[in-house]
Amino acid sequence: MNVHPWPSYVRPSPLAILPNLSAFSRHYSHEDHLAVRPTDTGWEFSAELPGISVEDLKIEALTDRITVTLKHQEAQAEGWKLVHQERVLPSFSESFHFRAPIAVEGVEATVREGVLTIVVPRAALPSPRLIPVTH
Amino acid sequence: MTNQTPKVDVWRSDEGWRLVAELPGARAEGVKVTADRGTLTVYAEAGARIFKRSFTLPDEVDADGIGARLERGLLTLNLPRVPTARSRQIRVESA
Repeated sequence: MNVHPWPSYVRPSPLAILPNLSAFSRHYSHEDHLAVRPTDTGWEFSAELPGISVEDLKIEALTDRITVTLKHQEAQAEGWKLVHQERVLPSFSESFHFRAPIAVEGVEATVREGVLTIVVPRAALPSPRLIPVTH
Repeated sequence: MTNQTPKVDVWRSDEGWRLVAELPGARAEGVKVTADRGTLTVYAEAGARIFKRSFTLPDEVDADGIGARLERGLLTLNLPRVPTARSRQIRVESA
């Protein structure tokens, strides 16, 4: 089968379109797959990972970071030979560090139609406390 | 709307071809697959994006037998080979 050549589509870096992300320092190497955007309550990560299932993922949250680990393998059907390949099946473990504390209990992750979304709420700031002055 | 070319893997076996296309975020109702005069076209709407790509079908593909399944953002197209034409003996009539 001939696959038509097509002008390559260049995805903008997901972080290039973000407003000020001063509370977030990034550390990852899979820009094609991952994007992060600030929300009113914290941050939202999304990653395009077509073919993955819930069992492939492990997500851990600490007050200052979340770690996403993906191990994905696709079974090769007997008698079938790969004659043209463009897809890349990522396996990775990446940590995202936050300078502002996150609400660990509130972190939620979903996978729908091959898109992973992780909602990371900011930890509530403690209310100011009036310090009595003694003498 | 942004246009995007889906990434595709092509598999081959004695039964025919299998095309696996990445359509992250697409639902079955937003995906259209057409086979027309030897050209297979995949079109999908996913949020603010349109995935589109065309392929030349080998002659041996049985266009009526093409099957499509969308699962976890992956579109799998099964393109079966046309059943091998049976050899047939031609009876010669006498004049």
